Order: sequence, then structure tokens, then C-alpha cells
Amino acid sequence: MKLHALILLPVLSSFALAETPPPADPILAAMQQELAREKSDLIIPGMLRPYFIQYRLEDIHSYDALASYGALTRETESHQRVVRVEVRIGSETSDSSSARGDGSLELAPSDSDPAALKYALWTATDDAYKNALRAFATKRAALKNFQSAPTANDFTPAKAVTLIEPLATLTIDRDDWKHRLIEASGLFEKSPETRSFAEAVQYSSASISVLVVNRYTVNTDGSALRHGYSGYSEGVSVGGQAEDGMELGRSNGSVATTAAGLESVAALNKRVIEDLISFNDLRHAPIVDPEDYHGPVLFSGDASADVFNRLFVPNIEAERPEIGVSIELKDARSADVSFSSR
Amino acid sequence: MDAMATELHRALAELGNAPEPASSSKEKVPPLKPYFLSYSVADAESVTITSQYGAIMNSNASHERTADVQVRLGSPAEDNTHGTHRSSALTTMALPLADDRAAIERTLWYATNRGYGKALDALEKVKTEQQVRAREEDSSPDFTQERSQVAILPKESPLTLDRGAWESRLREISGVFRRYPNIFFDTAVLQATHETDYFVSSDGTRVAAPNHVARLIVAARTRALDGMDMFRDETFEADSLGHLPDQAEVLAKTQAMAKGLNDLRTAPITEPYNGPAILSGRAAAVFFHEVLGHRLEGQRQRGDEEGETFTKLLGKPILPDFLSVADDPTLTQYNGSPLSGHYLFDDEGQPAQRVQLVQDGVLETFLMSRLPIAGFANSNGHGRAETGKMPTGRQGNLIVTSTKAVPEIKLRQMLKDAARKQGKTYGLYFEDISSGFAVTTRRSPQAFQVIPLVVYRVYVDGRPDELVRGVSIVGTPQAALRSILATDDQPEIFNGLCGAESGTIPVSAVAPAMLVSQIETQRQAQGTARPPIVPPPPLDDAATTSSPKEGR
Repeated sequence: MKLHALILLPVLSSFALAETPPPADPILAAMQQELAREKSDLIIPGMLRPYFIQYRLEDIHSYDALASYGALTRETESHQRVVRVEVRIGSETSDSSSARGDGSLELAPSDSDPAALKYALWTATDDAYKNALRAFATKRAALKNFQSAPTANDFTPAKAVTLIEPLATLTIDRDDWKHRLIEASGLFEKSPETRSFAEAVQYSSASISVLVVNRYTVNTDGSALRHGYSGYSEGVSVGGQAEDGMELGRSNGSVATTAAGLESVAALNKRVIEDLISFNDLRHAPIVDPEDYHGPVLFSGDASADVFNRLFVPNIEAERPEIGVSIELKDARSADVSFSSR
Repeated sequence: MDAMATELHRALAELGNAPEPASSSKEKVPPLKPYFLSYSVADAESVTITSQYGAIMNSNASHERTADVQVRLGSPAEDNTHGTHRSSALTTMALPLADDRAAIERTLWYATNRGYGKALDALEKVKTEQQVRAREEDSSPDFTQERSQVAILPKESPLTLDRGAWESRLREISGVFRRYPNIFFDTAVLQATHETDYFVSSDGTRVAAPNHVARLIVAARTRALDGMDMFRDETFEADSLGHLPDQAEVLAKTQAMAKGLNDLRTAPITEPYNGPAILSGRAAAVFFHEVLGHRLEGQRQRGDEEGETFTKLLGKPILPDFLSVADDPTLTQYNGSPLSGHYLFDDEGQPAQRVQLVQDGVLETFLMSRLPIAGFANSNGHGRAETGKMPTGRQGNLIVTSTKAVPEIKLRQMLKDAARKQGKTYGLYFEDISSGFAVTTRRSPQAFQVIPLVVYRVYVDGRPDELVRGVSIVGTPQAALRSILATDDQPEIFNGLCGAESGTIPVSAVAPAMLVSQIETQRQAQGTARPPIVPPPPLDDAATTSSPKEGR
């Protein structure tokens, strides 16, 4: 019996590879091989087999540096791979998934070692399957408490997609940026515009944070995806207290998809000085009585983007309702309209 | 160091001088000057490389400088750290990595200011609480008076390593587990730290002390068919990377561990038991660390919540008279093997000292930080803390010695005799243990638990020893310590990390194997999940498929 299974495996995986175009990426290949093996073998006798399995590997490379008072206080770089395994039991109509997101996480090797990657996937899949079985039983029991069946399915079918994007890489001149941060965080003492109130500056820091993620996804629909994205963000933070003890601070930054897209040295330094001057102005500004103004407000572009993000976006995010709660699509639309008509 | 001293003196001179610029100062509050200030800076470089199943998972290096600023207001007799407010004296902040004097001073200034505010707040609470409560049982002051220490030792050397070579070694070590399909978790981790600790205080102490450690940890886990998870680990400890054992030795120990773990999977479960047992040297070392060591920490002898098991037993026997116990952080090694609990100065700037805790069974003293207790007004160099925590009395290198030592074979015979006398068919032999814990608060039973990894039944009728699993040792400290009958003559070392209120710190314990007349065991908590359903992924190289698979 064991021998049989061992012989069958290579056959199965080569069949799976023949069906979808062979991915050029060794990580995707290893993920597909383990997926094929689990799809065929993963079952506790007498229990349900998964109807959908998805492997997602995130290769996360990050770099952070922070300077305070004109000196570097932190520089860290990390590279890590994490696999997330999603196993669904039941059917698309009703399955083991919940609104919170399911599956199990496992660290994956940063070495390109297919055997070690499969090993990580193997333990994560085992965990995810056992959790899904338990979750499905719990969910079926819970659904019995409600009179009407859920109005929507738990999962939508999707066509297999294969898309291999170029890998994203972390590219930044670390020494140049450290130098920029050191300079920017020390401006409160050095620049002629701010030197006069340097004593009042309790903190002054500048930071850079880079996150580059390459995400690999394979699933039993037959999809194979490799998608990379990057985020580079820089920020400054200055502040202290007013005479009456009120804590005041100015923090802001820029975000881009490449290091070159961030603000230039001159722009960064200019912003720090503006922040410092603004902080100093705030120190001497009178206190506004919170109750004495009702009237029109002019939001800057930056501020109104934030307002929309906080007030509008949460209303249009399609979140799955709690079990037993049915949501009429019509109501959701009218709520939408009433917001935009204001 | 100079920046620390300058800023300390400036803060001391100026804090609390100006009347508080409180906005609408209706009442005039006399300004309070700190009576004690200290800056403790840990400048640490470290490297961590993690591998699993023959591949590197993570490889990180870091350099951090962290300042712990301590501000004490009031007086040594009663200050803002009293009772449960101990942490009110401490403010922790990251310091610049470059030797930029202005930036270091400014950071310390900011932290000191914040700490001063916290201390003021706490002192007010302490004063009120003292008015409201009944008289304390131990009315000792809150801070000891110590002579100033000045010792500027050379800075630690930069941490250098051949990362590529170490990564290859780790791949090979964790690759051993590829031959054990039932082991579903394994890891080999290398940690190395080079640290210089600086300490400056307002009582004139100025200390700079280097410290370095290297550690290689190999750990693995498997699961029995009944769902019980079993874990083994091997830790190699040295003062530097170059002194860690060579690859051949590590591989041999890893193989033995993997094989031992595999055997443990199928070992029978033993029932709860009350009878004689031998604790191996390593097991006895952990036993003493938990059962005795933690209870002799100075701060556990005062306070409303503490169990105070041994507080009133000073000068009285608490162990059989053939046993003595000392804590000696000045030792770097024992019989040629490195000790983790070594340090030169404690985290309150006090020099490390050897302390004879128990002499011929009689309790002599406690492990003292600068928190006084009745009868002990001074530190004995055991005030320890992780960076970011307030120091308390902690263990360093706990060393148990015996004058009633017999060869191991004799000790085994004594075990069988004791078991026979108690009408048992076997005694227990605890070969290796992973960890333990002790409960010392009044609200809970004064109990301890020690989790064994490898336990054997030693049969009185001469049958070979039988490996068993599933029990842990439980008991109460006074009874357990009094029931030790004899020891062997081969002290063993347990190097590990100990966590308590003042954080996680490296410690060692050294003890010979011990025969105990009565030890109680209980069923260990266990998981209920079944072992992995699908066998592990086949390895690409066909050479490793011969081992039998029994995943289902």
C-alpha cells in the first residue's frame, strides 16, 4: 500500500505539471508538487476531503533606519519567508471558513531549498486541515440555531490563472539615507531658522522604512501567481510641550514605490524646518475652546483624502456578515447614496 | 561613558530645582530632588541564525544601545519604588549607535525627564498607601547604601563571524532530522552576543564591563499516536563562537537526540507515582534552581504577596547536613565547562560575589540586590535584570556540593533498595529535564513543578531500565529538600535562561545526581491532536527513503 502511494506520487505531480504550463520559478514548482501530493493524500478516513487548498508564500524583505537628535539610533534589516496554508472543507455553498480568515502560518526557509519548503508546507497543511475539520463541525452546529439559511455562498469559483511577474527587489542606498536621516533629525539645533527654540524641542527623529514583498500563490483551482510589490516610506517627527504642559508634535512623511520616488534631500530638510517652525508656532498659539465653533471647514487635499478613507471606505468594503445575519444588498446601496449626497 | 556621567550630574544638579512650572499653581509644592539617579547602558551586538530541516530560515544581525534610567525620589528609607511600585523608577530608551555625545546627552535628558515625572507620581501613591495600610511586617528601607565602585574594563571586541561557514554548519545540523520522518518540527539556532554594559550612578559608581556569549541550540518535537507532544533539546554554551564544540561532536549529539526522541514516541506512559527516584545531575540542578534558588531571592522575603517559605528559617537546617549550596557568578567555568550565569558586575553596578547560601544544610543568607530585607542591609552582587526591567535578587551560578557522594552504580543500588523497602517494583530515574517553575506567592500553593524529558523505570528485579513518558515532578519545597538521601560524585551543569519579574537572564546550576526517598509525579498535560496525517514530503535524493514510514 505504502509502495503504491510512493509510485503514484511522481505520476500525479507530472500530470499536474502537464496540465498547467510548468512555472519557471522553482519556489512555485515546489509549492505545486507539495500541493498535488496533499490534494491526493490528505484525508482522515471517514472524514471529509478538502475541496480547496491554497498555498501562499510571502517573501518579506524589510529595511528600517531611525535617527534621533542627529545620530543614528537604529538600523535593522530582515528577510523572512512565511507560508500561509488555507484548507477548505465542505463545498462552495457552505464550508469551514469564517469571517476572520482561516488557515495556518509557518516560517519557510529563506534558502532556496525545495525539500525544506515542502516540509514547512506539509506541517502547515496538516494543521490547517485539522483546524478546518473542527471549524466545519462547529459551523454546521451553529447554523442549526438559525431559521433561515445564509443568503450568500461561502466561496466563489474562479478560473485558473497563471501569471509570473518580475521579482521585486529592495534597492536603496543605505549609507546615503542614513546620512539624510542624521542630517534631518539634527536640523533643530543646526539650522538658523530653528536654533533659537532648539531647547524646547524634546524629540526630533527621522526614519526610513522599506518593505518589499514577493508573493507566491498556488491553489487547487490550478492557479499559479507570482506577484511582487514594494513600499518605501520616510517620516519625520518633532515635538515637545507648550508652557502649560500640552504635548505638541508634528509628524509627516512621504510614500513611494521606489527609493527614488521619495522626497529629495532638499525637500525633506525643508519639511523638517517647516514642521519645527509649525511646532514652535503651536507652542505659542492660544487654546481653542472645543465648543465654540460650528461652521464650514476647508480640508486640505491631504486631510480630505484621510476623511474619505475613514468615513467612506469602511462602508464599501464587502465583509462577510456574522453567521445568522442576513444583509440585503439594496440597503447597502442606499446607504451608499445617502453618503455621497451629503 | 563620559556623556552619561556629564548628563547624570547635570540632571542631578538641576532636576527639582526650579519650582514646578505647573500652570495654575494654586498650592506651592516644594520641589523634590532625586536622591539617586543611575544610567545603565547595554551596548549589544548580536547575531541569530535559525535553520530547520537543512535550510536557513533566518539570519539576522543587530546592534543596539539601550539605556535604563533609574530615578529615585524620597529617601532610601522610603522612596517611589516601595512595594508594588518598583518599576516606577525605570525609564528605558534607545540610545544613538554612534558616539555622538550631544545626541546621547539629549536622549538621556529626555528619558530622565520622563522618569522624573513617573517617579513623582509613584512617590505620591506610595505615601498615601503607607498611610492607609496596616504596619508592614518587614519595615526595611527601600534602598541599600553601598560604597561606590569604579571599574572601567576594556570594551567588548566587535562581534565577527564567518556567517557563510556557520550557515553551512547549521544546515548540516538540522539536516540530520531529514532522516527522522516522525519528527515534524526541528530547529538549530546559533546566537552570539558581544555586549558592553556601562553603569553610572549618583553615588559615584562608574563601571564598564564586557560580556560575551555564544549558544547553539538544537531542538526537535515529535508526537505520539495518543497526541502527546514530546520535545528534546541540546544546548551548547560557550563564551565565544570559537569555543563551541566542533561540528562532529554537535552532529553526534544531534543524532543521539533525534534517535532518543524517536524512541520516546513509542515509550509507554507511566502512571502517577510516589516513591524513590534518582535525579540526574542536570535534573537535580534544575530542581535546586526551582525549589531552592528562587525562594532564596532577597525580595521574596518581604512584601505582602510573598510565600516567604524560608524567611524565618535563617540559621536553621533546611537541607540534609551533607549538602551545601553557593551562588558564585564570578566563576566562568566549572570543571572546564562554561557557565552561563557568569558576570563581573551586577545590573546595579555592584561587583559579583560568591555567596554561601546553605552551609552543611543550614540556611545562611539570601541572594541580595539593593532592596534591603530584615537583617540584610546590603547587596551581595545579585541584583540582576534584563535590559528594560528593574533589577531584583537573582541566581547566577548556583552550585550544589555534597559530602555524601557515592559512585553512580552505588546510587542506583540504593534506589533499588529504597524501592524494594517501600514495596515498589521499580524506582524512577530522571535523566534529562527541560524546565520547571516555582510558585512563591501566598495566594497559591507553595509548589513547584519540574518537567522531565527522559524518564526511566529502574526495576528492582534486575530487568533492564524501561523508557517511559508523560509525567512531571511535583511537590512542596520543604518536604522535597529534606528527602534527599545521597548524591553521586559527578556534578553536572545546566545552562539555561531563567525568567522572572526582572526579566529573562542567563543562569547556570550545577549539581550531582541525587537519590530522593519520596518524589511525587503527576500526569503531564498533553495535546490531543493526532500525528501528521500525510507522511513527510519525499526527499529528492533517493538515498533517504529506506526508513520505515508510519505516519498514519
